[in-house]
Amino acid sequence: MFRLRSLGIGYTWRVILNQVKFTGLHALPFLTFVSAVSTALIIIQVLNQASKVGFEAIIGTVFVAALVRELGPLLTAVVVIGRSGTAIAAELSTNRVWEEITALETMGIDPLHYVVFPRFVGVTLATMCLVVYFDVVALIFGYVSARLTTGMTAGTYLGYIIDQFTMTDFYVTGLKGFLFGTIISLLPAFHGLVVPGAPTDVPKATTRAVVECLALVFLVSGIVSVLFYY
Amino acid sequence: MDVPMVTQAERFDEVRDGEASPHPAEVVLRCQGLRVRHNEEIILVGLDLEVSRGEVVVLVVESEWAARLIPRILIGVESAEGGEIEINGISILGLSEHRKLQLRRDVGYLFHNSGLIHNLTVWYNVALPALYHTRFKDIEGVGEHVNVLIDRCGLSRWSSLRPAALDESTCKKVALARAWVMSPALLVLEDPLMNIDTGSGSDLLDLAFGPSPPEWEDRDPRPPNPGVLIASQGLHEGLFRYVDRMIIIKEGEVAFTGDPKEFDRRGKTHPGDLINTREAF
Repeated sequence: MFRLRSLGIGYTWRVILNQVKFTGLHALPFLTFVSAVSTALIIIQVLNQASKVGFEAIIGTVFVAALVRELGPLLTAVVVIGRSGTAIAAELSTNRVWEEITALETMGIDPLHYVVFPRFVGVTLATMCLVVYFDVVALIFGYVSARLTTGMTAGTYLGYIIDQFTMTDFYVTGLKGFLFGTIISLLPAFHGLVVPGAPTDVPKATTRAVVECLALVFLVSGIVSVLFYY
Repeated sequence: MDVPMVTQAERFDEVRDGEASPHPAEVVLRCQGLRVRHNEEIILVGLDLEVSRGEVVVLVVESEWAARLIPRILIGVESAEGGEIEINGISILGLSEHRKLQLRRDVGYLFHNSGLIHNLTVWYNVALPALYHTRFKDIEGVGEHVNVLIDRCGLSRWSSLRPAALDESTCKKVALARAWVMSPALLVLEDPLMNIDTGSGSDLLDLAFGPSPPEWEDRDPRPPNPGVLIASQGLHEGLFRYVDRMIIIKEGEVAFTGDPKEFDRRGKTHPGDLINTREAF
């Protein structure tokens, strides 16, 4: 029988909410900045060249292919790794060094359930939402950039983008958000929990987690894109 | 007592089928032939130990490592080289990690360094095991129980602070309150007087084992009659007031077991002599 008590879910949901707040809500200002700047740079560069030959319609292709499919999820993942991936690795390795993980075990609390599971759920959920948020901010600042560069109207701008956008892009964005969230929560948690017990191992675990997360996120992004678009 | 070990499967089956209560045994902790080695150093070569309900047993060892490792082995957090361990009548040998976690819900444990969770306040540190193990429908009662426990330990004014803002002796009291919160049948204290001064140590021991003050007599939230095992590096005089039985381990073997008062009868000036000099044995 499903028992809430055996899952300790009565308390764990608070940890999940805290993780969503930290990974998702607190990342919004910085992600807005990253999304706005990267979108503005790409749209201005493309429109500067394309407008010379009257080919402004390419903005739709560039927006969907470069920003929605590739850069959006990747830059979001980089921001989440920089904030939450490092935090998870540093926090869990410090917990291990201070024997807080062992303390949980002595209380009959499963560290995988109390420490790892909420971070997995929180980071994955937040990353999926952040990828969508990145695209929304990109859409707004893309329009602002296009308007300032060529005086393009909102209707024309949206028309170019909607022409290129397919349901596959929607699914792939969600899939990448899920996969990146999984990587960014589990890999740093693993590195944090296997720290042998010396304080000097904390920065090492954090560095290792960040590097491996970045490498794996780029690799997975490439594999997903190849599977769906080529 | 020479009671045969019951396998964990048999015991769990009995509890599940309602043939046995979760705490049937008077003996809450038992080990037989426990062998422990750490980094090639022999810590124990075959310890037989029983802790019954209401009994306070102190295990005096020579090294800090032993004082940490032995109690953790006894509750199944670390592994022993050999021997049998039984908690509340259930053998932990070969038990899955999940079952061991279940078993430790009924064990209170105090860490040598308190082992508090640093990103939680004092209140949440004390409440954590109860919040985690309590069903949704019963969770309202947890808050009241935790408040009373915090009040009993004199921690009310610290309850919204995090452990980093507290001194070591207050952290130990928080850890003790946390160890009590599930009303365990077995309480294990890992070098409880480490890193605190004599006065604070006496306060902690009075709180843990002393009689209830008059204002708490009818409503003392401390667990009723638990079996207590204290692992200690060296002998601390403060412990003597409350200890029923003492086991001294020297070079991995039991050098003395019995009532601490027996020392006087053996002509020793101070029990510390036993641990500090080879000749004493």
